[in-house]
Amino acid sequence: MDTFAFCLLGFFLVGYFVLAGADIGVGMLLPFLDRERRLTIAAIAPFFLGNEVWLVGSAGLLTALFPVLEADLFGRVWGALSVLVPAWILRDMGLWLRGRRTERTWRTAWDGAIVAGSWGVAASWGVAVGALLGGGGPLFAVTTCGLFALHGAVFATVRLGTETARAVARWIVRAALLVGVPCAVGAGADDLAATVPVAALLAAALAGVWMALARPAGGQARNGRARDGLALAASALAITTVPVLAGLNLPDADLAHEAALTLAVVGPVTPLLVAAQAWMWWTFRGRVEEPSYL
Amino acid sequence: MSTLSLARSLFALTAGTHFLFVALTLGLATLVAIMQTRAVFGDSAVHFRMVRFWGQLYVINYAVGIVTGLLMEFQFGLNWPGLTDHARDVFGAPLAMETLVAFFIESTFLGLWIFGWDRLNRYAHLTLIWVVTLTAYASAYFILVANGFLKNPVGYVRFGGELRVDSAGTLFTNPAALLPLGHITAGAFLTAGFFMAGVSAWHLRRSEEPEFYRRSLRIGLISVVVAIVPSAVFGGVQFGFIRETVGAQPATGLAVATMMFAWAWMFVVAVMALVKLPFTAWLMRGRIFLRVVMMTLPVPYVAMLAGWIYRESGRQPWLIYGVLRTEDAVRPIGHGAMIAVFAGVTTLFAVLVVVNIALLRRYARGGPDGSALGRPEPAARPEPVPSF
Repeated sequence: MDTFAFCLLGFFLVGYFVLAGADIGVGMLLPFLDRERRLTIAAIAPFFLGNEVWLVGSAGLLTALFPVLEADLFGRVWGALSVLVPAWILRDMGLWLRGRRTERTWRTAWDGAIVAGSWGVAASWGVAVGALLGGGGPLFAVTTCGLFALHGAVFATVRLGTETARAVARWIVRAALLVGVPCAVGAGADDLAATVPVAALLAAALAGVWMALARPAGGQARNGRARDGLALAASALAITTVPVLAGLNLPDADLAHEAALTLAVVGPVTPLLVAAQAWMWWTFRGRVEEPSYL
Repeated sequence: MSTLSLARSLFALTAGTHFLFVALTLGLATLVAIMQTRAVFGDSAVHFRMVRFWGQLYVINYAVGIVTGLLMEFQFGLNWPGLTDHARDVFGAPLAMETLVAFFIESTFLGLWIFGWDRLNRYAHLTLIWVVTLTAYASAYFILVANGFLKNPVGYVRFGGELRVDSAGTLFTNPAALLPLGHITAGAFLTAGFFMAGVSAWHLRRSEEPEFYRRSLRIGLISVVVAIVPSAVFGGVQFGFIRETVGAQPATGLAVATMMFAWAWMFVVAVMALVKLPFTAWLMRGRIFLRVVMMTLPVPYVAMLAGWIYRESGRQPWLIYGVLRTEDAVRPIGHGAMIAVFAGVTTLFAVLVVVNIALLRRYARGGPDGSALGRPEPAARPEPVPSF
């Protein structure tokens, strides 16, 4: 049962990074993806609500299944989490509110909230996971900012299909390879045996993004959309290294005595949750053509 | 203020703000689902417009509800580790079920409902709003199981220093959870009913869209008439669970008096509505009645907040009644850090509440044609071009 509980928690946490990572990244890059702002936002609009609940679910599972670990974690990363939650709120409010009025100052102010909040979320994840790695918080924040931004840029490339998004993604993937990977190794220097393989996987995933995004000079590649999809899979793999590094550095934790009760209810419901999410992703799988409600 | 009082005030602020938005969300979601059902099965254009207008207000309100809720969930771990230290098993299970069984589905489907307006088949779209509504009640239930345990700990056994679930059945059928669920459901219908009726009355006094707002006014008032007596019944039977505690707060007496006064006010309006509802012309002509209905819009909020303060402050100084003291559960962090978090959150919430009330007011006044839900962005006004 231990393994099942741990895998379930891991599933929801990885789900959060892979899915919400994309919409947070787009939020970070809002000023740089030059297509009209409302179109850029429409790329993530239908998903962000369904994405963030993966983290809410993870927190619920952590409390119910591993309460000792939860108490320990919240104690160690209190500072990072008390930045993460307000940043998350700021970002969400920006997304919900910006489209509700048309004045330029209103939109600019909430755009600012989306961008600042998204960077705040990405950076505080870095500080939190960095603290678990052994004090390399600020260093690892560089890595997470790079990975969230990259995932967002690749997602924007897929959803919007613009050359600007692709160019931004290609710049970020270089930066992530040159700066993000060394920062990850530096942050996890206490336990290189665990860090180095993950960092190598990260570097390989980033190289994969780079290759998938490459286009012959001045020409269109064949299978352009399929290659963009491949790039998205690679950037999803890259951002997965964040929860994996966190998981590798967790202390052994006792399962709650009542874990069976929680698992008996949550376990059978999980396929239903995945199906609901699949329906959402299938409904909005196409390219963005027009602004949405946000 | 001590660090403990700051942490308590922070939670009270978060939960109190959250609760105000939840009350409208629960009730309005149900009424919107009913309207959409009539729209789909009656193929009624006016009901489709009603779904769009009231749905827009529901979505604006939901957004603040959700962010205040996020802060609340994370506050358990951040500021109240004693709760999970002592009651980890008992408290964690209902919370996890709330996040995954209820909230996860609610959010995913609400996103589909908002953004899938013209992409989905109308029956699928109708199913979405009903699932969103039902999971909202499931959320309320699971949260009340956790909260009811604090007030009336049952179904547990002490095992060394910690509590364990002895009987899941007892824990999940705690009367201190089920009775307030009935009470809050009735309160949510009062809140949403007076909200719909109040906004409609405002427009009717200006003789705008009489058919649209007459129907809306009737739905609001019927919801009020149906809910007013159950709200008192479910509230009244809970007095059996009130325990006189040594450290009863002075606020407790004031809160209960406020709640009862607000209820009496709503009861009078509900009786007036019951008398007038069968006579449509009389209902629409009553300028004074419409004004009273408008003025009653904030009253259910006052009642909800007062009732909540009464329920929660009556438990002090216990966090879990007779088991865990509040002062033993708070995280021993620096006073400065707690002040910083408190100031930050208070400012953020003040901005959010003001912005959202302003938006609700703006969209409520804008009428059904001002709603942005379920329709593409109106084409941008072309830039003026100088003509020569």
